[in-house]
Amino acid sequence: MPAVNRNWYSSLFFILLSAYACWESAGLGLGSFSKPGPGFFPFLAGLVLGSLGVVIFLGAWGSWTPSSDIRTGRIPWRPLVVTFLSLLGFRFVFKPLGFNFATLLFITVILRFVERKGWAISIGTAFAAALGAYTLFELGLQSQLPNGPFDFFGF
Amino acid sequence: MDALTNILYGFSVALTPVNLSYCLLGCLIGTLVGVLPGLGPAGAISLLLPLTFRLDITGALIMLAGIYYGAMYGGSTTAILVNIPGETASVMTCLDGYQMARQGRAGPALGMAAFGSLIAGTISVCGLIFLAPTLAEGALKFGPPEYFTLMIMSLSLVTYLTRGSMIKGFMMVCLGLLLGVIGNDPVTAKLRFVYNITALRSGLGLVPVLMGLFGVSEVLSSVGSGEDRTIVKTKIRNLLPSARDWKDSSLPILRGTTLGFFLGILPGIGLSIPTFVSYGLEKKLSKHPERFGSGAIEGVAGPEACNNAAAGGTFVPMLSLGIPATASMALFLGALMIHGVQPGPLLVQEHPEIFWGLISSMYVGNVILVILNLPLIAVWVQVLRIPYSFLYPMILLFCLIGAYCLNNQIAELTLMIIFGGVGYILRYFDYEVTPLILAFVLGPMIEDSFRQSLTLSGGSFDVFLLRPIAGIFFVATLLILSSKLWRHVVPKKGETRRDA
Repeated sequence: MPAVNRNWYSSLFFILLSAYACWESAGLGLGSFSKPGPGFFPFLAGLVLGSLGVVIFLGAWGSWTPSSDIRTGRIPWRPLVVTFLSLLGFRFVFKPLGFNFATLLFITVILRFVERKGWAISIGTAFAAALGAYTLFELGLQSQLPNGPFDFFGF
Repeated sequence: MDALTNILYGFSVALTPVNLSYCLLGCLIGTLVGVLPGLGPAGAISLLLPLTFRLDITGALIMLAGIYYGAMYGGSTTAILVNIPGETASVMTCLDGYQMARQGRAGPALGMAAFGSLIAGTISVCGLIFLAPTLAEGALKFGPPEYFTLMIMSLSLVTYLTRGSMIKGFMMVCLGLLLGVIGNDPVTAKLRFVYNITALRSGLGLVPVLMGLFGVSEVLSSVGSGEDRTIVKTKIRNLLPSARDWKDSSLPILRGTTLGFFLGILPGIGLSIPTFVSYGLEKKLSKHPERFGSGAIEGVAGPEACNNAAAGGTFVPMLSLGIPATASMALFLGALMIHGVQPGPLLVQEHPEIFWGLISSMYVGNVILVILNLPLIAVWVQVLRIPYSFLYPMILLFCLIGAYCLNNQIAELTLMIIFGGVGYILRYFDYEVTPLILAFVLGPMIEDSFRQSLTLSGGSFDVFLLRPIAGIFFVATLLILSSKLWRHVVPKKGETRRDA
């Protein structure tokens, strides 16, 4: 996406965000200059954010926005989405399945589906990582991580 | 004499077997983090912060400090051998360090980086000993308007120095300030932007936000990039630089140290900018500037000394004013507060063991790093051989478990993942996260001092101009802003007009 368009979209988002922040802050109570209320400071911050957003928004149409700032290169969507979903997946299975199993799944998925390693390497590395994490966090640092029903290192 | 007594007291704290082992551990972890590209000292400190909760505060800070300057050492190894900066402050070391390694002079480059860092570390600790308490004494005269204008000046400086658009930098500051107000209003106890989410009641956690914005987003940015790392195939010998190397490097080390320390003190400058200045200065002063970029040892010695001295300098505002100059310092501040210690000008009086123990440990740490790391370079080279495709899942795993361990709350994990995504999107749209982080950290202090100032002055904004110290900071802020605007309106010869 060209830099001009990126600026256009991002500034529009920040303008909307600032409008929302100002509206919400006004609801909290602005107070007065001599006795600022809880909404005073976020209102100011939102106002400045919105004003600067407008400057970027207007600038995105002008010719002075440098094209040299464009960071070209395609986004590696597939690995990116799989990695992000793996992070979310870890978060959801962490408590119900326990951290050992969550670690196993997380590392296996990333190595197999993002890095395209073979099943044996992926699962083997995941086991080693789970064992390492268990040794470090559970045994070494005595962190209270959820063990879940698959407490297979639970000795 | 007082300083000598204090520093001897500091050494008596730092040299206890327990604190010495924390220092050693911190240095080792820090070097490892520095060697491995992608995590950085802020990420490593945030990762290990929860683990220090059970430690005594002095030991915890000594270990975290070890990680901080250990990462500076480690970063140079990667820069010299792989041409990838282990952390941002080592970018300039790549230019000549890698060329030296290709010419078979990896040993002197690594040795000079280590010795230069030791010299710089020693001098900056001396500077810290004298400057921090003096500044803390002066800071006792600071009221809310002075603090407010100082912090605004710092944020302006950060936006001035951000790559690309200053307007975008300011937008990130505003976003950081908005994120910083989430939670309880300190004056009225009213909940702001909480939406009945229990985890938000006490505000967004610094550590998950930092880990997300720095650690996770950094990894996400490199996923699928197919990064290729080639370690220079050379035998690392002659780690002790020759007399000629010393002759070429001694002045750059001294200049880099002075520059690094004083620039590091300025809140917001960080560690990488001083190294750029140092490299530029050495090139300008050199009789053979054409050698720079093709293996000049001065190009390694100056910036390496500079980043270590700057690392010491960043402790000055944190210890004396309670104002973090970098994201790592924000975490130090967080660590102090978690342990119930109020950072600021009274720290040196109320907790001398922490203040002097930490400063002395920095010197001990610098010595440990040289003694340990020169013989261990072969080990770090082996670490560098681990393919990134195996390494980054482990970094993510550490971030995930680290975020949870903070308070044993799944909400912190969620927060970190969300901010990882936010950080990636911001990077994609060319918004820098550093101003956001500093504004987020300073936000509550800025709001507090702003509201107090207005209440004190009966709603008059003159208070920020008419009080001498506040006025100086205010004028400095205006100068910073107008200089960038000036450069936009009247571009330098050969420079195209660009986004302000």
